[in-house]
Amino acid sequence: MHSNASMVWRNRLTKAVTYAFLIILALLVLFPTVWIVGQSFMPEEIILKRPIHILPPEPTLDNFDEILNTKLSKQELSVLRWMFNSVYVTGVSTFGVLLVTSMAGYAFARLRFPGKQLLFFGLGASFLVPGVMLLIPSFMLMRALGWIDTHHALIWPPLAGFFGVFFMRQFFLAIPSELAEAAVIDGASAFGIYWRVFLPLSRPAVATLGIFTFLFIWNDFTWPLVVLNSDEMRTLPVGLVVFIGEYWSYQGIVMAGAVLTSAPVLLVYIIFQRQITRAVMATGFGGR
Amino acid sequence: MIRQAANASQTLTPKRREAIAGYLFLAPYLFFFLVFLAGPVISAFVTAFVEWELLRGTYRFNGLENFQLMMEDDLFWIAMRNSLYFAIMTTAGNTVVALCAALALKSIGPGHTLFRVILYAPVVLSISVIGIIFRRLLSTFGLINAALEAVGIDGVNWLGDPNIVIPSMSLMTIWWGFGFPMLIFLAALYAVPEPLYEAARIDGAGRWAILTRVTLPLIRPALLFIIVTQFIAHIQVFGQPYILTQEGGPGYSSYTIVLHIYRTAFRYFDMGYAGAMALSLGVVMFIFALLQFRLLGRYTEY
Repeated sequence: MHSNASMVWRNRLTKAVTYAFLIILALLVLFPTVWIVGQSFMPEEIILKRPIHILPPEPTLDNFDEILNTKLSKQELSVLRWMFNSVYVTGVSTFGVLLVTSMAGYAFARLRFPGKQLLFFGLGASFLVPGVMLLIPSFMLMRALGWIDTHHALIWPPLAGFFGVFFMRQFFLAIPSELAEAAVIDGASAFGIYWRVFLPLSRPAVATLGIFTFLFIWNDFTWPLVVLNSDEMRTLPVGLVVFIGEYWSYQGIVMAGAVLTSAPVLLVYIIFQRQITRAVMATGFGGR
Repeated sequence: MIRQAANASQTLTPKRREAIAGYLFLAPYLFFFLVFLAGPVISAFVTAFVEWELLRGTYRFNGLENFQLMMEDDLFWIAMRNSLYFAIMTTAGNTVVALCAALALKSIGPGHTLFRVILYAPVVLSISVIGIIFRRLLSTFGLINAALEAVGIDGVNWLGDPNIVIPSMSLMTIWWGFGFPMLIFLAALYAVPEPLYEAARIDGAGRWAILTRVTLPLIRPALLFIIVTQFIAHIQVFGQPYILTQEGGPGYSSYTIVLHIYRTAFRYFDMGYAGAMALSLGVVMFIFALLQFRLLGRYTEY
């Protein structure tokens, strides 16, 4: 009796401690986020005022107005241009990755050809090549191609990533063969089977791969920093850091820039959090 | 007979046709792979053994001179030490925080979605955003010091004190990244068969005993995977010192190896030397990763 009652109390206590731990952790994560979003809607006087305001007393869009309409050094450009660059580069590259890697994944999952195993493991070894080793040779390649300070340098290299091939292959392997056989009887070509049977059936996998690729390219910092050098070509994350040099003393404006840079990825994350979580848990990819 | 003749003249048996289709499907990817991955890997090995200064236009084979230079370059060793320090601290911190968070999420059961979504969220943000937020938060007049002073603790010079700057960057990186190992651990925890816990409980094992004798040994592959991949990722730290401490300050106290490679290549245009450093670091990490994949053969499941 006595031990039973104490067990109940101990379980309750453990539960309370667990919840407290998670709540504190969640608050620690949320707090800086709320703080920057709050500041992006605050005029400078309020930001500088003490005690600190976390939420804006009178929200204003001035910071966003300023950051979107300020002309960057000499050229008639604004942050809008960086936004456009980011959207363009990420969009084209993601589309390319999806097409090219899903085709290769299909070959590995569904077609028989000599040297398949060897090729798969050979390509897979590229997983183990650390990024730092590729930085300088890739830069020299871009130089040789005349791609320095062009968007080509950001768009095409991600198409060589093996993750998409691996990911799509796993998905294609799980699709029942009867469906493909039916298409063969209907006289579909190899490409027809891929395009009209397998790809539509793999919509969830394509979407997940697309989300990961989008996040990766949108957020990338080091590579665009290295290969782009003019204001008009920059993407948002790099532009933001460069921009800060001049505007560091205007906190509200800097925070508005941070909000503009993160809004698209956070939106994608909130909408697709289930797919993202599931894919990370199943494949172990997506970290850094 | 007739069929054989037909095959010989057509040469396109279904098997052959399938093989050709296979290569055609593979061709576009293979093209990008060869140009943007295989090519650079090969040239990484060449670059390390040449004297290659872009501005002077020199390009000649110089054997092991770059590596010799590396041995004598004080900055290389300072940067190496800083990167190691950062990587070990961040990997340890990330692993512990992520493991605790995963255990907590698992124990509160299916109602944990909201927590899980919040805790993973920072992972999807760019280092540039994280860097900007934390440069503000950690500044001497920043929010964190304001909060400390409000409860009567002296403010800390988070980014300006040579002894504290790396722990500060590490703390920030844990905030940014622990969500990823958390999900990996959560997946591993869900894979532990429930009857094992039951059995341990019937045997009278306490919580701590269950954690150390049942749970941890069973999720060892995930632990190993996270420790190795985190270490490899964090030893390549670049964005944090680039954004937070103006490329490695104060002095060289947060100067990291990738920052050194970046500056050597893109400020001083000494491609050969930068390439030699990158190759050395790369090869060590490659061996590291290879070991991990050997150890984890079963876990990675091709």
